[in-house]
Parts: sequence; structure tokens; C-alpha cells
Amino acid sequence: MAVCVCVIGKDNGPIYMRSRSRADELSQTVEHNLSQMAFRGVTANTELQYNFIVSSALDIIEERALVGSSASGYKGNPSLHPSASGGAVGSIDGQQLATRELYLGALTAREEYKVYGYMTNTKIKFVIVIEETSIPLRENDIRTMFRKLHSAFCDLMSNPFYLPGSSINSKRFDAVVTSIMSGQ
Amino acid sequence: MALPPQSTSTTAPPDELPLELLHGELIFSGILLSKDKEGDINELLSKLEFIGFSTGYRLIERLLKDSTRFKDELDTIKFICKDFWVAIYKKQIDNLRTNHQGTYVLQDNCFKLLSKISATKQYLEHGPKFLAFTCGIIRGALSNLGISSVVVAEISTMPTCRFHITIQRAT
Amino acid sequence: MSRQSTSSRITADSKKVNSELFVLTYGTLVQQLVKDYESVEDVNKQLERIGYNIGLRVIEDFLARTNYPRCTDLRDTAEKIQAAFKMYLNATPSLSNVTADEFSLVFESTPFGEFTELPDACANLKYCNVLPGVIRGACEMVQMDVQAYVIADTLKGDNATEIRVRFIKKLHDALPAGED
Repeated sequence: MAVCVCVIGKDNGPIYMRSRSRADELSQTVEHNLSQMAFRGVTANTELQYNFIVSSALDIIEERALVGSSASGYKGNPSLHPSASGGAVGSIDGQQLATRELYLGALTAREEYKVYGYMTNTKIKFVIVIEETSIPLRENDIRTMFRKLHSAFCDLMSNPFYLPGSSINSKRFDAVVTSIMSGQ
Repeated sequence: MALPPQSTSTTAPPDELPLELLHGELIFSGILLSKDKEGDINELLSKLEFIGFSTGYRLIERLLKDSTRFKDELDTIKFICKDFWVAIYKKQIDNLRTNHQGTYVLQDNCFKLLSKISATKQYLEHGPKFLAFTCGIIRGALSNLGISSVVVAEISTMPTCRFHITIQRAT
Repeated sequence: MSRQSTSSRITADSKKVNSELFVLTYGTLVQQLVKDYESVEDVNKQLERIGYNIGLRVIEDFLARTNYPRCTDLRDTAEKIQAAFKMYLNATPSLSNVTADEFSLVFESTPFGEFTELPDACANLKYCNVLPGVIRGACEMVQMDVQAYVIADTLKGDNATEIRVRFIKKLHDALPAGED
């Protein structure tokens, strides 16, 4: 389940963040969860926590998005390798990390969650934090989430009253994020 | 101000007409000018450019939705000359020159928005007004791709025109 | 995805890009007008005026392309207007409430409204007011004086966007002085 969806603008400032707090996880019904998932429905602590996760993710996104760079070596955990098998990787080809694809794969992993990134041609970054559960989400599902988000963002850009770079205050966009976070 | 006579080519697809007519209205109707600035051509050009800027900026987001990232600046400019120009004006840029130091000149030998107005000297003075919007589109598209630029256009002989893009590098 | 497939996708989608370009340009214009004019009513008027000017010219193109003969009655006119919307904006309004003097064009979704979200400050903005203007201008060029106005708008939460057109009178060509 996605517990945090964040959109970061060109200047690396967040323009949209929606997250779900731990307390909400304990609630019984999906409807109750949804109603709690408003912007201000999370504790200050959790929001800070997600802010921190997202900013660290940004560094990795910058690295991954560099194309043709001499990104030699591989900082960090071998389990970060985008390959689905997740097995230990021997000699890692540094170039493999730098990609021209918009979908950047898993950026960070902890016990409780994994962070995924995506960067558009226009330097807009999407970060989704997925909670680790017994039923892990497949790579395709995550790609689909990003595609939906990207599509919603393009639709937002076609709204002449949305000022690019400003924070997102759109009911339509909110609805798409809700559907992503509730697992469609 | 009288609109130039319309010479509609009925071979062009009809769905291109709304934009052409709207563009013509933006130029000649005075709707963009405030009352105290009527006749101020710089104001008009600036507003036309801005409308183009916003349009190009937003359009590129959707056009590149499913595309991979560009390799470099030249790759981006080439995209503008080919796919982007084709998408908007149904043809590619005819000639691209660059000094490889941030200046690019795009030449269109038969610029769509110019070919519709009579190719006489009578309307030559209005030429720049027909280019401002497109300059804005180019600047807007580049801006959203992270490239800051200045775009100016010149008409050599109707309907050929050139767009000069000067990349502003952050120093 | 390779660059090749991007370009083929873009060229194949030519109609969509045309429409997108128009919608975005119009959208920025509306947004600019809202900033420049003090009252939303003024913006509505300006949009109608622009539409009127466009209508005067669109009709020439329409008649050149279609070679339709003169309309026999109002329903005939309504159907031609329907066809024109399809041709130029790829929109398919349906006709409703057709009487001898009036008819409605009903759009399930407006050509402009798909991604637009009106800010609260623009509650009275008639975003697609250019369309009634186009209808009025086009009709005038074929000697019909009509009144056209938006009576429902999806952007305001209505189920559909509806433009009502009311026939006022036939216009007669003004003859130059000296002729009878």
C-alpha cells in the first residue's frame, strides 16, 4: 500500500504531499481510512518523517537521472538494485543506474517501507513510499501508479488556472492520488 | 484595425482553423490591450509572447509524457525542430544552424501562420505580430525542459522566417 | 520508448494536438483576461466578442468546404451548426428542446472543460462564452439575427454544457445607396 505520495517541483521544492499516518493503519474500514487521509489528517511527526524520506530520495533521483555521467560505483546498499530478484549483486555496472527512463525504480529500502521514484522530462519528480507488507506490490503495479500520477499531472497542467510551480490544490488531482493510495 | 482578407485553403484540415482564427483575433481585435495602451505594439507583442509561452510550457508536458529523457541540449533543440514543430505546424523546421555555444537559428521556409496573410508588402509590417506567439511557444517549451532562453524572430522574405534562440546559461 | 516511436505517436495524434493547442491558447487567454479585467462580466463579454469575430470568418470556410445550400428552417440551421462543431472542434453536441424559434446544443463535455477547474473567484465566469459568440457571428453572415447564450456548464457542476440559440429575425443585406 502506498503510504505517501509526493510531487516535487523543478526547484526540488515539494508542491504536493499526501501521506497516511500509522494511527490510520489501525482503523477498521477503508472508508474510515480514506476520510482520514486528508492533508492535515496526519500527525506532525509523521509528516516530518515523510519529508525527510522524500528529501533523501531526491539525492538518489538526481544521481539516477544523470545520463551518460561518470557515475562510477554504487553508493549504498546492493539491495537497492532495480532488478526484481533483489539478490546480492556482484560487479555492478554504474551506467545501469543512470537511466533515460522516466521510471527510476526503488530508491531506498528500509524494513517498513520502500521508496520509489520517477522523474519527467520536465524535471518534475514523483516519489511514492510503499509500505512493506506480506504481499509486496509488483513492479508493474508501481509503474502503473506512476503513470496514473503522471497522467493526472499532465491534466493539471492543462488547467489554465493552475500556476506551474505552485502547490497543487486540485480536486481532480486529489481524487487520483486517493485512488492510488487506496490501491485502486 | 481591419483583418487581412482570409485566404483559407480548404485542403488544410478543418481542425486547424480554430487556432488560426483565435490567433488572428488575439492580434487584431485589441482584446489583449488595456484601454490606455491601445496601439502600443510592444505591449501586444509581449502579451502574445506570454500566451505562447504558457501554451508551449503546458503542451510540452503532455507531448513528452511517454517519452524518455533527452540526452543533452542539442537533442532537445532537435526535438523542437522536428517532432514539436510537426505537431504544431505540420512540418519540420527546414534548416537548423548553431554555433554550438548556445545560439540556434531555426528557419522555416513556409511558416504556417504567415502563409495565410497576403504575401504583399502591405501586411509585412504586421509580420512580427504573427511571430510573437510562436516565439513564446518555443521559449515556453524550452523553459519547462529546464532551458532558459530568449527567442526572437525575423522575417526575411514572406513566408520564410527565422527563429533565433539564445540559451541563457546560469553563470 | 525510442525517439522514433515518440515522433510517430505525436504525428498520429495530430487531431489531438491541434485541439490541445487551441484549448491551451484559449485557456491562457481566459486566464489573462481574468487578471486584466476587473469584473468577470467584462471577461464574459470579451469572450463573446472574440467568438463573434471568429464566427464571421468560420462560416466562409464552412460554406466553402461543405457547399451546403441555404438552410430551410431553424432545425436545418441547428443541424448544420452541429456538423460544424464536429468538423472544427471534434465535439458532438446533441440537439434538444427544438421549437420553431429556439434550440439547444448540449455538450456532454465541452471542448474546453476537460481539464479546467474554475477557481472560486471565478464562479460567474462563462468559460466557454466564445461558443455562443461564434454561433451569433456565423449566423449573422447568413442573414440570421440570433441570440445565443450558455444556460448550463459542466465547469459549474452541471451535468452537461448547454447553449441555447434563439432566432430573432432575418437580416436583410443593406443595399448601397443608389440601388433599389
